[in-house]
Amino acid sequence: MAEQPITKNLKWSYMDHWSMRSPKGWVAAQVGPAYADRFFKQVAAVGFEGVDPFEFRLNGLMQIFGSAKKAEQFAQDRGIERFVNMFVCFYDDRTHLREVHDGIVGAFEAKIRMYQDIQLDNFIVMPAARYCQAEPITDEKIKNMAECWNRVGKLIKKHGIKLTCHHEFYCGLHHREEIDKFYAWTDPEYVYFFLDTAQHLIAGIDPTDLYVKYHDRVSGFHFKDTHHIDLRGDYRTPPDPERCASTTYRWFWEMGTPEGLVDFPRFMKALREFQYKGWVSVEHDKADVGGGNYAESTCRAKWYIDNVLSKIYA
Amino acid sequence: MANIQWGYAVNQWRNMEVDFVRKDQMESAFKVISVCGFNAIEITDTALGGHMIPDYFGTAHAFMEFLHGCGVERVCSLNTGIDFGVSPTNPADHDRMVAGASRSAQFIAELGATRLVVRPMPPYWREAPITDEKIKAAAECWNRVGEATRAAGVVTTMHVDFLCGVRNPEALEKLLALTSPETVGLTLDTAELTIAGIDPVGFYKKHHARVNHLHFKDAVTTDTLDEYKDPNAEIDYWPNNLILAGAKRHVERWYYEMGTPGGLVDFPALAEAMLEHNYEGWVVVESDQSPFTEESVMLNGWYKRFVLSKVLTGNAHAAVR
Repeated sequence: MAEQPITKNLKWSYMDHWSMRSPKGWVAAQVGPAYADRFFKQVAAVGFEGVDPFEFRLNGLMQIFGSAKKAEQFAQDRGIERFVNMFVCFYDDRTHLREVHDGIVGAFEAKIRMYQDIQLDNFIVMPAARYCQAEPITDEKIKNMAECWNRVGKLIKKHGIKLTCHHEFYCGLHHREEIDKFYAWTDPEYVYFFLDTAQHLIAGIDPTDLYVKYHDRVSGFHFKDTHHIDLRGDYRTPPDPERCASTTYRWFWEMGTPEGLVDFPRFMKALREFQYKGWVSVEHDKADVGGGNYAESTCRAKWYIDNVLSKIYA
Repeated sequence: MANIQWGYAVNQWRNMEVDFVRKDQMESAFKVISVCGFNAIEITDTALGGHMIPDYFGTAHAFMEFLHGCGVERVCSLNTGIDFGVSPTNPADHDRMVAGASRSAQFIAELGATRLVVRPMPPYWREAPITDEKIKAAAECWNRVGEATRAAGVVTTMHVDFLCGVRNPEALEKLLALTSPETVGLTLDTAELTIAGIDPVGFYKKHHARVNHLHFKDAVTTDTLDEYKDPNAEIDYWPNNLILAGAKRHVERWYYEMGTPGGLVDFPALAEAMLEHNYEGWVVVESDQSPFTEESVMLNGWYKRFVLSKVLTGNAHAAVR
């Protein structure tokens, strides 16, 4: 199934955190072809056209099917157009330290070779180590981070892939001032911004304001919601603020819940104002915490897209 | 394709006492159904039937507003037992059943429904032997029910399942011959017929003129041990009767989503037959017994969208698989 030219402004992709029940308990789609079959069919059924895998999940599919291209073909046979973005996981994330930069660049050189048989628009990275591992966040450290990603971005852009930065609320680039400095010190030609609506709101930053400021740097989105803002400094607490923070065990929610704090209609109006064209990704991160399930969250989110957001901009 | 509309049965959401009893549970179910490409719902006596809509929503109009707000256009049908403890083989029950069906038809007509789905006979193990006299009594009952519901603009349609008294071809043919084609139709349930050993495609080709409602679901095994005859093959329960048949072989689940590996129903062949005979009306997809409620709707939605819709538009070569 060849990629169709974009005849509408937005296409929706699905960030794969999927888990599903099996006779052996909860499993990911990568546990075998029968499970991958169910996963791709389910996201295609509700109208997602792309899938964004994590690096380790794409690697799992590659082992099952033989190559990234064959894994993608498996998805295409079930109605998915292609893999769009990959969330990169394996590199030394201590980018505030100059001495690890050569190793990081080498890691990305290897990734280019590994995934060269498919088209990926973005390599998504968390641009800094966890806040607690990198603090205090000084200008010198932010400049080091910027220097690192400038090098990686320049490298991978030669191969048609954008380096784009996704700021988890617990990452070293957390506050608005840190984010502003980072994008001021990175090269717009090589370093892009992957804006996650929930992560920034948890950090107390309005995602629409961020998009308005950085719309010309944005190369993608994670649309997800939250019911909580971090008022306790959870972002600084080890070991894992996304999974075991004091505020909540479940930070992330699908769009359309009554308690949701992200103003998605306002965000969509901003996309319309700046005429964003391209892929938008939906992410359900840990939707299964507390008894939820990915299938229901995904249906609810796509329903919200079709019935609310698409009426604003599509 | 233009003559076929797709609905989804809500029975799978109503397994236990705590299921489908809050509006947020209903909202989620309806939105899942909507986003997976289904326009209507089939309700049951215990899933939005009986007193539920008046109690939860006050009026049919208020319920319809709620349903529309979730992206679902209408209720297409009510799958009903009509009343508790009655049997169409008992003429003494007929007046009560006709009155009950008439009330139900009037109520569901306000919801946009056009089909009252009834079970032609209680479980085989309770009714056996299935004599001509019993079939005749049942036919008389459904002819009267059909007349009564027609007055409300709702057509009565008999849904044969693998456990019911009329589940063998011979008995089924007799029942069809004795019921009026004008007022009593047939709901073809793909999995139920398959489990009963009847090929649903061949059956549809033979009886397409009587089929006025369809239930689409798959099966991966048939009742090879004739467990439908066993005492307690099905027992009365609430909110749903319980199927005990299958226990001898440890069959935990009889019904599966369309497209399930090993599925026995040839849905594309059935769709082509429907196209050939210009079927007009509802196809209701069911996934009762599903342990994965939303996943089942999504998988069925995928099969409808990427396989069946292409067959039904005469574009079978474009079907993904």
